[in-house]
Amino acid sequence: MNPFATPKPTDLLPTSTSLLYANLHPILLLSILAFTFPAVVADPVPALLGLAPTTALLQGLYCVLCLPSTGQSPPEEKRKGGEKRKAGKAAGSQDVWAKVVPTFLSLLLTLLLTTPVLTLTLLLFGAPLTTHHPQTLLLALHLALLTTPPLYYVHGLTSTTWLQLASLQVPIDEVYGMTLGACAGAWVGAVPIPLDWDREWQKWPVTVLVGCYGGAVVGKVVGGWVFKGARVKMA
Amino acid sequence: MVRSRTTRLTALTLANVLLPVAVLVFAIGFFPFKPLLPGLAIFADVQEEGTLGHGQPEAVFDRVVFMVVDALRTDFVYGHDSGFGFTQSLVRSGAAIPFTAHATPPTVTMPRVKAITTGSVPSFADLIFNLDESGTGSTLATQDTWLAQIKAKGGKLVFYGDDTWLRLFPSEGADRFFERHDGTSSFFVSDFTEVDNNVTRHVPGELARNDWDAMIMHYLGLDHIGHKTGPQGPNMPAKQKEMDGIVQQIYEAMEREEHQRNTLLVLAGDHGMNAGGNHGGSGPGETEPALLFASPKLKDRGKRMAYQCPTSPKEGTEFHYYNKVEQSDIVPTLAGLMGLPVSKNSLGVFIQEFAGLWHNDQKAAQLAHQNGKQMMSIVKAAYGDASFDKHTDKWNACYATTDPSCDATDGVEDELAAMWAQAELALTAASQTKDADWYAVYQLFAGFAYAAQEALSGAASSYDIPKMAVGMIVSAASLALAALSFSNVWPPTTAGVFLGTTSFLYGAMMFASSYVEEEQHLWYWLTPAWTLVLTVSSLARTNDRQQQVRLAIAGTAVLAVHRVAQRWNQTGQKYAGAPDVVHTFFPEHFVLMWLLILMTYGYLCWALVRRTFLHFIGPELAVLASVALVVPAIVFKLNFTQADAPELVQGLAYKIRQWTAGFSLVTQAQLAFALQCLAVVMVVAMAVGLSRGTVLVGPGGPAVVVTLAERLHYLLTLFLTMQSRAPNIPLVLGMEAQRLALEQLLSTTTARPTESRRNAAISSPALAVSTLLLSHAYFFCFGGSNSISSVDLSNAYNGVADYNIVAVGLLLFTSNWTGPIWWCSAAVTLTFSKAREPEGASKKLMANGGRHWIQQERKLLREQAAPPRDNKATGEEVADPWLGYVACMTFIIATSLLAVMAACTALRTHLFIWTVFSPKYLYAMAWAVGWHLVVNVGLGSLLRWLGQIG
Ligand SMILES: [Zn+2]
Repeated sequence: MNPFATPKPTDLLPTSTSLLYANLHPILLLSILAFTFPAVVADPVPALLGLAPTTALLQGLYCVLCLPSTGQSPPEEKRKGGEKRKAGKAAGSQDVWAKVVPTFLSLLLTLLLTTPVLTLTLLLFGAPLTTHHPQTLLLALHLALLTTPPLYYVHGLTSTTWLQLASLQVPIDEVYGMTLGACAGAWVGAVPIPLDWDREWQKWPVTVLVGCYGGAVVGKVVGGWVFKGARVKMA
Repeated sequence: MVRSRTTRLTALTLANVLLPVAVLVFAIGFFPFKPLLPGLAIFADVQEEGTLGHGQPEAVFDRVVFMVVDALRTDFVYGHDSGFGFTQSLVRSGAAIPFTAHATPPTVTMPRVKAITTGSVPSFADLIFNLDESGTGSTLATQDTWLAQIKAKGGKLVFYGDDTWLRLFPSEGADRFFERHDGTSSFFVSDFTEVDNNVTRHVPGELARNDWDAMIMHYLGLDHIGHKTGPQGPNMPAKQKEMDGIVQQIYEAMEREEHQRNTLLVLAGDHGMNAGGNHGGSGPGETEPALLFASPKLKDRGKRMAYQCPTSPKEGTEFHYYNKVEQSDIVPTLAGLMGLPVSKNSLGVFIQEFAGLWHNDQKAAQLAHQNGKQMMSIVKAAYGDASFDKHTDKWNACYATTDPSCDATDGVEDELAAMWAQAELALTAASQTKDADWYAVYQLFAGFAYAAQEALSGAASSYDIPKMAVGMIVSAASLALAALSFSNVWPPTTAGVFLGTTSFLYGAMMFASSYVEEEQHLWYWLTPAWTLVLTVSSLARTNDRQQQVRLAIAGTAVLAVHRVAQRWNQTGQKYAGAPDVVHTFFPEHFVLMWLLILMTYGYLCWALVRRTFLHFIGPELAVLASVALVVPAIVFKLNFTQADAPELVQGLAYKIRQWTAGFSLVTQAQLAFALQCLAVVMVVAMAVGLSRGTVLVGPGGPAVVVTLAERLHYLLTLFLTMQSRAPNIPLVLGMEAQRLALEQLLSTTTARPTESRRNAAISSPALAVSTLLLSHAYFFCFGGSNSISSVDLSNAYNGVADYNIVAVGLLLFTSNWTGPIWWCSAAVTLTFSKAREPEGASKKLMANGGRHWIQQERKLLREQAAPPRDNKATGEEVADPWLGYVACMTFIIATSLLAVMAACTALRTHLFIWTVFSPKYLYAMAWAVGWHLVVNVGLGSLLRWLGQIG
């Protein structure tokens, strides 16, 4: 494979489970946030810590159920149901492990690599410098969970691809759209903080967290449906 | 569609001509000069023979000690933690009557003194004159004040304290106000004691004399302590006790000395202070100074009310103690108590608590009637004589017939007319009956006076809406012309979209008072996003891994510096006083601060040698010249900081300060400025002289090693550091790092094909967006805000010995817009492409011992100046990046101006109009005229032109 070739937009695995979960995924993400929102407002640190494994699980399931893993494009032709079941039965356990291991690695990389990088990025973008460090770290963890596990899972760890991802030279798809959406959402989420409404939820990092989840969902839907295959052009 | 250069230039010029017109016309409509009634009031104006006769109620006091303590907030006197123990005992005994006096914004000294003496409500236009040290614009010499009334009566006045008073009231010459005076300057707020001792030393002598009728004192120390250490500062209790001691000294003299029997003491703050110890706006505490009248005679008044003291503020408030009066109420009250006519333009109401002093309701009613009559002449001036008379006649007729249809009043004017007619009716009735209820008459006239005060102090009545509309239309025209001056609008570039979004967000934000107060968040929030956009799009342009790493580092550097700079000065209202680098970290680590400052100057010295003087003079000479430029600047900053903020110097560099102690700060600043001017002249002359001998004159010529614009950039930087407070100087180093990083990020080509061309290959919208964001961000990083209280006056008088309004204005602007001015110059340097210095070029020069360097340099330039012939055709079409830059800037400035104007018009009856939106308009004026027109269009274009020729 030519390392300089631009990646193609990712297609979801064409199984019914995959399609079902792919559509359920954004709803689940929003529901867990809505469910924990009062706790997050009341005391962000334990609430965010408690929410993280759930988000990780949802993202992991999304990788396993819906996405083709690194270098592996989805099956070209749709096999007939019967054939598939047969093949599935034979290589069933192997197949699952072939999906679970990269998923696990993706989540591990997200925790160890993306979270520190995003923490620094959040600080550079205006997160409190001297206070609220646990909150910022956990916010970075959530942003990382929302953005990178599917990316690692789909694109692996080649520096060329990541450079292309960073410089927006990759066509938009569900996964990439979700990443861009979460980042943009986090940025927009900072807007209500300075308003003089004196609401409890204006405190760091509640609005940004909501922005991340909302942005991720919007980005996923828009990226998968409206702008699939399009490229962000900057001039 | 691509427009021709001529079209664009014409549109752009017109747009920029219209901008100041719009600013001015709108300002005239928005800040109208209130017409003042000329001349001094006399009793005959207000006496009414028919009902109340010629006689005046006798004066209760014949002398007044008017003691102003700057920034004396109510809780300092009345609160539980107050140091005013003796004063509080006076309040308890009934010998003193306490008030909270409402000070209308702007809460700075000069407008407040105007309010206290004339009784009028100074407009925001007075704020501009507050800085006018020459005082010609706003002297109160010819206005009707209680001082003028005392003088007209043949009384004598003495004055000690803040020399603001001496600028308002002429102190020399034939029509001087003060028999004796001693002014103190409030220049260095680090002075807590001298300013006050200079007043106090005159007190015993003056109390012993009986040749004066009014002694005015204005103490500054408490305000200085507030500015320096806040209202809870360690020196505050001692200062309060000191002021209390002076009250005691005066009060005891009143009890002891026969000639002080009929003396009244007025203790007043001119304004309060906020939690940070600053003032100017209308934050909590700023508008609530204490006001207290004291005399043994005050114990004897009818219907006396007892006061508790110390006490707590009214529930739900922080600083509202006792009854609240307006500051202007001082004027009619003093007039009534001292038997003077009420000053003509006074909007004050005689304070009710004193009415009992005459033990005669008829006399109180007479005073209220005169107060009302005096105010009615202002009402008539505001609404028109005929119009008001018509309304009064209507009401007179109504009351005569007791027509029930007359009950509803229609508008403020009608309401006032009704109240006046009713009061007059009651007066006539009372004068014809025995044992009339004069107290009811008093109440009716006082009610009219309060209503008139409210109507006339209110802002809504005085806007000139058509002028404001014209101002908006003109700025909209300027906006349209600016849009016409873009070379092409479609398809939009990323920078163009960002520019449009920024304009829109900024415009929308102007309608929310909390966002106007916290404007810094917008720029702090947009800048990282734009940096990311810039980095990402530049990454996409190259495949060279090394270059990509360089770009990533550049982007990160811009972000990192921006993040640290945000914390340099805490700004805005919501978190005012929160910890930051300048106010929290540096006072504890002042050695580190000076190391950073020295690093900045070290870098500047290097830049002067290696950039500014490169190839002009030999390296040894260049080092010498640079040191000669930088050292006076450092010494000045050191000595200035010692005077302004000694806690940041402490024992440092004692020797240097001792050696230079013989020179005043003015001389030191003048020396440094003179050397900088000399360097500018020399560098320009040499660069122009050098370019004459070569073929490279003319725009679009080949790149040179250092353009004249860049040479001057470092000299400008040196000047701007002189105009910054010492803790802000290290920010310059950060900005310089960001400039170098931006040079990488903005370049639209990587292979440097334009090396031989003078113009850098950059997109002008991208340059404009970067400059715009960083200029605004640094305005706030340096400590600026949209509140008047954040204007930094400390560097406005550098090197100015005699008050010169032009010099002070210029220095004031440069010291408050340091960052934005710097970024404009940086933008100019970014429009030029860098030529790599040929290997050994400087070595060759040095090998000759610096001689024949001009010939050498010319030869060098000629070698570089051999442009490929085939470039010439396209060379004509290379867009001038500066034109595009100015077009973008004009666009956004016109948008923001229009938005601020629209917000001020739409919200003109809003509660915050005088506290948030009016100051914002003043800032918008400064951005549009000062920064955009003078700095960007003027200075920037000049630098750009110089950079093209040398
Ligand atoms: Zn002050």
